[in-house]
Amino acid sequence: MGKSSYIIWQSIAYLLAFVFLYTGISKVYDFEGTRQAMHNQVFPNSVANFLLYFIIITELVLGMMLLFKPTQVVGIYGVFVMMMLFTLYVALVYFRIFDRVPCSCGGILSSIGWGEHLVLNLFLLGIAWIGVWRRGKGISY
Amino acid sequence: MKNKLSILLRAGVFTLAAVFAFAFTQPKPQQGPFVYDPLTDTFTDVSGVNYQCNMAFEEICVYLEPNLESETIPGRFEEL
Repeated sequence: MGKSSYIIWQSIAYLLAFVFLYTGISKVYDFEGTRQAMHNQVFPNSVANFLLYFIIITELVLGMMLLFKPTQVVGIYGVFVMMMLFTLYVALVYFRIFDRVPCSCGGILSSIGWGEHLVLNLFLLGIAWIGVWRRGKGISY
Repeated sequence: MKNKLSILLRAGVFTLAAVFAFAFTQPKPQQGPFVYDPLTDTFTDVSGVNYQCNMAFEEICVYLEPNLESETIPGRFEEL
């Protein structure tokens, strides 16, 4: 594997690790705000309770997986799937598919609207896709 | 040398993420109960305020538990 390909792969892994660890840790730090925001979303409260813990744990686990070479490949696939689901949900909210538009998530992203959130998610989804694509070409560590 | 750099980089990414999370997140303290005004679509924190909800068909107030899990209770907000 060439040095530039290795650097690109590691950069993608570390960037996504940073994003997922940041959002996961901020959700834990403001757990009450995260819980209220989750209950304010368009799905039922039972689903919100499940997703509250599932998303936080998944973000932290995937973030850590991306930091270590033996688990980076599985981590990048997991991140790609999660980003697809997040982006799909944001898109559905943004295009008013649901009957109301709930408030955004926590951290620095609470200061941006759903449109900006969608753009950011698409960017990160693109980064994750590049990582998956490069893995598919046999390019890893 | 390469190994040490790799470990430092991983620790750096984790530390940076944690620092950003603590720096840009303002924890929300548990609040409530809240009174919802459908006309302005706003919630008002009435914690520490004694109030009652009277049924009045021409005026509606909605009471929610802070955990947002209870059923809404219609009525009129009156401070005692």
